[in-house]
Amino acid sequence: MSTLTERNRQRTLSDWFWTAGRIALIGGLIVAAVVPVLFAVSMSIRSAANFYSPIWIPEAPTLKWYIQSWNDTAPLLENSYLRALGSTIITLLVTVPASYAFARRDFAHRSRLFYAVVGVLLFPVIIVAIPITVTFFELGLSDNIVGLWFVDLVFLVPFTVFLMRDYLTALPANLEEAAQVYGCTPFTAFVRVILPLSVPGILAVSFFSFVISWNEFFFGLLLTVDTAKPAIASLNAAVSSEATLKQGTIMARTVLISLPPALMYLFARKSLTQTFQ
Amino acid sequence: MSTKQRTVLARVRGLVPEKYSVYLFILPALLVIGVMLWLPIFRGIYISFFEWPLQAGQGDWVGLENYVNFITSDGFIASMRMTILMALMVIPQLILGVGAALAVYHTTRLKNVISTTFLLPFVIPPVASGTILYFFLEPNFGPFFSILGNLGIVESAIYWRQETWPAIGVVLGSLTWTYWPWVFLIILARRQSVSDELYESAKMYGANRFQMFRYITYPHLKSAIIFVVIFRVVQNMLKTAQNWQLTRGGPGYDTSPLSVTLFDFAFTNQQMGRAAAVGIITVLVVVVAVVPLMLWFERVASEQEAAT
Repeated sequence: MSTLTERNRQRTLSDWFWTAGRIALIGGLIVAAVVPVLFAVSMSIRSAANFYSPIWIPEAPTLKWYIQSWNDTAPLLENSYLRALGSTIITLLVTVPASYAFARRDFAHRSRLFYAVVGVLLFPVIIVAIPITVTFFELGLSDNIVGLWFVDLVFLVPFTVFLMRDYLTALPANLEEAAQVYGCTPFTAFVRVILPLSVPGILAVSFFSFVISWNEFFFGLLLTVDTAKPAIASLNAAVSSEATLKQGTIMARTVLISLPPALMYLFARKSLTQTFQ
Repeated sequence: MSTKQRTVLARVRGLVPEKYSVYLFILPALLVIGVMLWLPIFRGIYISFFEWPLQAGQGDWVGLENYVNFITSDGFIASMRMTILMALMVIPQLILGVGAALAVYHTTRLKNVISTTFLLPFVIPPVASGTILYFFLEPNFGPFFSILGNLGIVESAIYWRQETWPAIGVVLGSLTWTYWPWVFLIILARRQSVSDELYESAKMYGANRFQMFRYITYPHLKSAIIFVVIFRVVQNMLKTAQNWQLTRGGPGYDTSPLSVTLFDFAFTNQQMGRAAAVGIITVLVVVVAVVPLMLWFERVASEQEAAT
């Protein structure tokens, strides 16, 4: 009897430590994640007189900085949008058939070819930055959104094939056979049976492609000058020693650029994890 | 399907024997990798042997000079040091990510709110979070040092952009802050797929918390952990945007990993030959880092296969 109470007491003590540690970790991480973001939002709605005030919830919040930065930011956001949309569509056209073949068809060198595509995920793609910059400069593709579409493919294609293949492999095994019984050829089986069933997977990878392309900074900055500059690349000029005077507009622009990917992630997280479970 | 489409299809099919038609499905993807990756790699190797200003184009053949000049410069040592330090940030990222995943898994209330909040640093574009942290940590006006000062933790603000180790610390801290949630996501998903029955029977046999972690949780998470380590080591080494935004790679090249140095040579100096040489060196360094990790992954995977 006494040993049992002894054990119970030990268990509660260890439970107590474990719970306290868990709460401390979660609490600390929440503070670390939220504080800089709150700061950015707070800066973007403060009047200039309150820039350096320690109070983060301004008494008279203002949308002035958003209105001021909108005229400059809108065309940049439009570039970002066109870039991400185009990259996503081309990526899907290229990768959905490929993922289907890798997932559900048998052919010589299948796994070798699969790794030739997906292995790029572990490859420093940055190496292509210089030759592509030089080549695009020669071809007149720099400062052109079409050029950015092609560049984005280098990292979007391996990533999408990686996710899509798993998704398509998980579909029931004998779908194509059944379709062929009803007179489908291998190609029409793909178009009429597999494609409609892969809509959730396709939506999920489109979403990732869009966000990755929207967020891509390096090529966006190297390959554009002005007309095709994506919003993300415009942030390059945001930090400088004089910039603290313009914090309001800079933070407003930063928030505007961050909102689409952040909202997309946070709202779709659940359906995304379900799709790839 | 219209008759017209049908005849077009038939014609295409006629051109390619049935046996090879499956290769048409993967051809576009292979073309993308060939044209946008392998061709540029060979051109990059070529460019690295030349003097190559962006505007003027191809200049004189300089042989290995671009490589030798870079490797013998101070920038090389600094870049290598920063690249390695950034790769090592996988350790705090892993500790926080795994810790948070296990903590959240055992939390009953507000699970979703907590996970969503955790993801904030990760879902903001890295350049944007770099910009935010730049102002947040600004020594004169930013709130970070004034809060620390008020709490009595620091006496005066640290001008981190001008000093080597504080600059490195800020950049490495930001890198950890931004990417631990990614580790959290992957590990939490894997933890959720471990069956509760295992823990119940372990409890019946009187296993304590540590034993359950050691003999149930850890073996189940192991392959996910290795995947996370490989992926994060590569990604950490190549991250550029935040470093660039926070310090422009300075002071000197102290916070430039190889990728930022490459960017600096290309974007600021427009010396494409030198930048291309840095690119080739980057590939070699990443390959040297990744190959042992891949071998480790394969060994663990085959051990696990043997065990089941």
